[in-house]
Amino acid sequence: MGCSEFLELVSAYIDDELTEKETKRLLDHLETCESCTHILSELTLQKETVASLSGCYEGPNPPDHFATSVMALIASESPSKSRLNPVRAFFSHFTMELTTSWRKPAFAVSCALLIGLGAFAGVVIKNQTESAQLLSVYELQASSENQYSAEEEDTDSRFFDHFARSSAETFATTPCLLEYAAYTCNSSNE
Amino acid sequence: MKHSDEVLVEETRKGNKKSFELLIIKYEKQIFNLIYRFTKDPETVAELAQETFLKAYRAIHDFKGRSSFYTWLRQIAVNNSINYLNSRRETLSLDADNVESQIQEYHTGENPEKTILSQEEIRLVRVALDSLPDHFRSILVMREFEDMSYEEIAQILHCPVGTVRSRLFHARRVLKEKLELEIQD
Repeated sequence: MGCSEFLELVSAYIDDELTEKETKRLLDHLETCESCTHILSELTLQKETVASLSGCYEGPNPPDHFATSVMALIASESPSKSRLNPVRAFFSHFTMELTTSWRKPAFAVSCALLIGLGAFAGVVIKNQTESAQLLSVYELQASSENQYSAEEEDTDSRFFDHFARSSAETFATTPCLLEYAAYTCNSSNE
Repeated sequence: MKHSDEVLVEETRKGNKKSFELLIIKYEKQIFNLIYRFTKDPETVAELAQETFLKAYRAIHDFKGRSSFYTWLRQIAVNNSINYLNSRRETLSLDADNVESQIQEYHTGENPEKTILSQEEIRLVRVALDSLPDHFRSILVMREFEDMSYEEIAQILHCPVGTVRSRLFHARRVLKEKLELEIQD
């Protein structure tokens, strides 16, 4: 173990946060290492200096009647929020979190992303549905053409009845298929 | 015999709001100081303190009494302060006049321990401390000012105790480097 690996132990040692085993290992090292002993002395002094400055970080005094104003807020809330059932409590907490002033921009961005994602998913699903419908029309037509060649003209009327019935539902839900249907009809007539 | 805070918490749970008001009066100054040490922003202290007490009131039924009421309240305040720092994500510039006036107050205090350091030394340490990145500064505030154990800090930061140990060491090392730079300047 090199000196660098003992430095973290030195820091924890001055906080009295080492296990007995770690303390012994560190002390064994310090007996022979002047550099780490010097760092221990420096960090101890630094810790004492910083800790003694706590009085220098006096916050502002609470305004007069601070407690009264907090209690007024509590009283103005819906009856005993602390006794809400867990689901309502969650939503209540969630709402409060989101309406805290500094979180508003993040909330707005999240909403915009969610709406964008929803719109994108809608377009993808719509395209997939239309593709699937086009494919089903194409497959139906292909199988019908095979039947036509096998059973000759006497099955013609039955095929067109079947094709028309199967396609009608698809056309009803997807107007853009009409163009494709018109194209395939023209092709078969030619 | 029950500690007075326990009695007040119990009374609050029963619906006695006056009891909670007494708890606020007892701890408001400590909570204001704690939040200020994290945020360095006097403008936001009252708002965050109010949010802290509101959250404590709403969650009073979740307080199991495994720690003291103040330890529990302090955790809520520290979480609020850290959330605020995370959302702000910017370093506030040091208000030099404010620092000077607080150093003056520090020296006029009656505690003899407070007069060990010279004004210049205090200024240097404070400038170096305030220039630390928020994650280093927060962990030093928790340990040196609030005297929180590694276990308590780990709970608040949702990380293993080993991470607390490592981050504290790095925070101290960076502080030391910044102090050396300040002294050279």
